[in-house]
Amino acid sequence: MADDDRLEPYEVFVQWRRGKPHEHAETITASDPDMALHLAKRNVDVRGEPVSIWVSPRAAMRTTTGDDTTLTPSTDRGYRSVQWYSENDVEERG
Amino acid sequence: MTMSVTDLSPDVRDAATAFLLAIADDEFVAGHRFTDWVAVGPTMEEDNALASIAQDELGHARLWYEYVADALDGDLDDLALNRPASERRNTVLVESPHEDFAAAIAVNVLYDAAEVLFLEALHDGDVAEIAARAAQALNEEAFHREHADLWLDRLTATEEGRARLTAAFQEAIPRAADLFAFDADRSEALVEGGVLARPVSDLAVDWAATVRADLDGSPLPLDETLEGIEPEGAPAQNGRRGEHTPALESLVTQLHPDNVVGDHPINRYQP
Repeated sequence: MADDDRLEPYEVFVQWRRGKPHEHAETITASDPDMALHLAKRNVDVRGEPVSIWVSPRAAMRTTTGDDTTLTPSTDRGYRSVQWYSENDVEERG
Repeated sequence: MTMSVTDLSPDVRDAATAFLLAIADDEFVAGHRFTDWVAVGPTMEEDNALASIAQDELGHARLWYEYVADALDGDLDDLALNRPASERRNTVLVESPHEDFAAAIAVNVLYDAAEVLFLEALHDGDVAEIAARAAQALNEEAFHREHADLWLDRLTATEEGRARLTAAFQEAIPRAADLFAFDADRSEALVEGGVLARPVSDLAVDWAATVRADLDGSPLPLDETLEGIEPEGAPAQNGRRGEHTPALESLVTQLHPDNVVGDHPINRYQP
């Protein structure tokens, strides 16, 4: 429970099918993680029959900002792409 | 040994119909009271949880009303909606409006503990059609018990929560005295006939133990209230015999507003 006894936001991740990744579904406001998970059970679309649910306090998550330059390289890295292999060449050799 | 309803003697079949009608009435009235929280729950999330519990209980009511409608060749809607308070057999525990969130949690603790015991005894019984319905309802009870446990812990963490919960239990526990006050002969017939796996009197003992276990560890000053939890003799007011509080009367009235037109089932009600 938060020090000041306030409710906290929890991010809810739902796996809809076995073998598929957990997807962010919604934010739940709750007093603590156990209550957040409990409430999440009936606050996601239960008609969709979720396989599994994760909750995490938002305060425990670290996120990038919208203009984070460290996410994208500034130099041209096109040489890493397979686009330089020509399908035609393969056909000609074959 | 598994059997079908049609294998039961007429006496046992009648006793089963009466018992399951009372269980359906429990679920219907309990569910209806939880619907009162829609849009006024303490948080949006809890609002959804309470609405979901309400929907579950009303769904369980439907399961049992369907069974009874079959047995009596009656109508599902008439059974649920169009019986006057005096014909209903629910426990008076579930009748009062939840004046406070703590009252909702007290009913959640007391009623769902009993419901699980009824459902388990029906599920472990020998009658296939009844056991199958009980299994469906039992599935959803785990969430209801979890809801009760989690809120009990959290409300007892603050002074205000303890005060409100104490008041709610002091009010609710005496009203629970009729939970297991079914007609003794009929209850015995249900066990002998294989409908119930265990006598209702055993369920009463288990219920008292469950409630004690839930509340003994809590910091609520309920020792005196809990002393009266093992029923001795007939309850002062027994919903199982149709002795109800004015709260049930007002619930039935609420179900029948005079501005619903057309062939809605409630318009068949003749008080």
